[in-house]
Amino acid sequence: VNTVADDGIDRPGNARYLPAEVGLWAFVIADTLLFGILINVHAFDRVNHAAQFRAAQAALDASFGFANTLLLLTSSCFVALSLKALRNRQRGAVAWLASAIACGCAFAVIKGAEYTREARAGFTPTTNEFFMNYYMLTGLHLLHLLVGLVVLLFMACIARNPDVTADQRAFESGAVYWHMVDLLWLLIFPVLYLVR
Amino acid sequence: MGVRPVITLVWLLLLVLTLGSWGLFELGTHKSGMTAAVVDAYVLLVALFKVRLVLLYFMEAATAPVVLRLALDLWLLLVGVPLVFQTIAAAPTF
Repeated sequence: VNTVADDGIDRPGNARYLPAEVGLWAFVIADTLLFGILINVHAFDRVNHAAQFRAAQAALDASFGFANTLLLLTSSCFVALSLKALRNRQRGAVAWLASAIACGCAFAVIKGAEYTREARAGFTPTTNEFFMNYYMLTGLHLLHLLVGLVVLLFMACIARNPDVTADQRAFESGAVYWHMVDLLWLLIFPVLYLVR
Repeated sequence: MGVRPVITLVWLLLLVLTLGSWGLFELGTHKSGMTAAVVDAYVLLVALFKVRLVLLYFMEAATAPVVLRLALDLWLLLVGVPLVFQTIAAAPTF
């Protein structure tokens, strides 16, 4: 017997529900594992160059990263609310997505301002190991975020379609991808900016 | 509890945890009275907990098949354990 729970998901009985596509989850696990390795390589370098890393880290302004953390957490919340609205055939799915896109764009602008500030101060990827890791981790993450913004636009096109049932899986896949961009930043931010 | 309150509560918890780590960072080791290793370990464990909240409630692993949750928890352990220990090893002794 199929039942529709209050989360709007049509699932047989009490069966657990896998949102998005299996292949997308495989990508998420592989991609986050790659980031996990890069983050651990940074932590390993830190053990060997502790004083250099502390001095380089002091040149960063952590308030940029802090503001970006709040933006991504909020954008993830908006995307989750958008999916909920879509599943329940409620209005607001596109508006929630537009808010998430605005947060994502603000993140990119802040990151750009931060890069400009650091480049003007003479800190580039060739400065030392810390800045090489810093630009690599944040640059790869920014690339994921920019792709994510395109994905959010694609999701908005799906949400505008009155018959979204067929594309719900694609919408869920986009949502999972965006949350992955969020969770990667949740690790990158403390590792680069906060730990001493 | 409906889904929307859960999503909003998780978001609020994530914000509070982020503010807590930020406050500790701003306070510094001298004012907080804690060693850098303790502060680093706290900040990283909170970050890993926040990642798990995103996985469970935003990415909906909480209601997904158990095998996905196990895979994600295994990922979290593989990434988190060496990260915490290496960071503590590099922390200054003040």
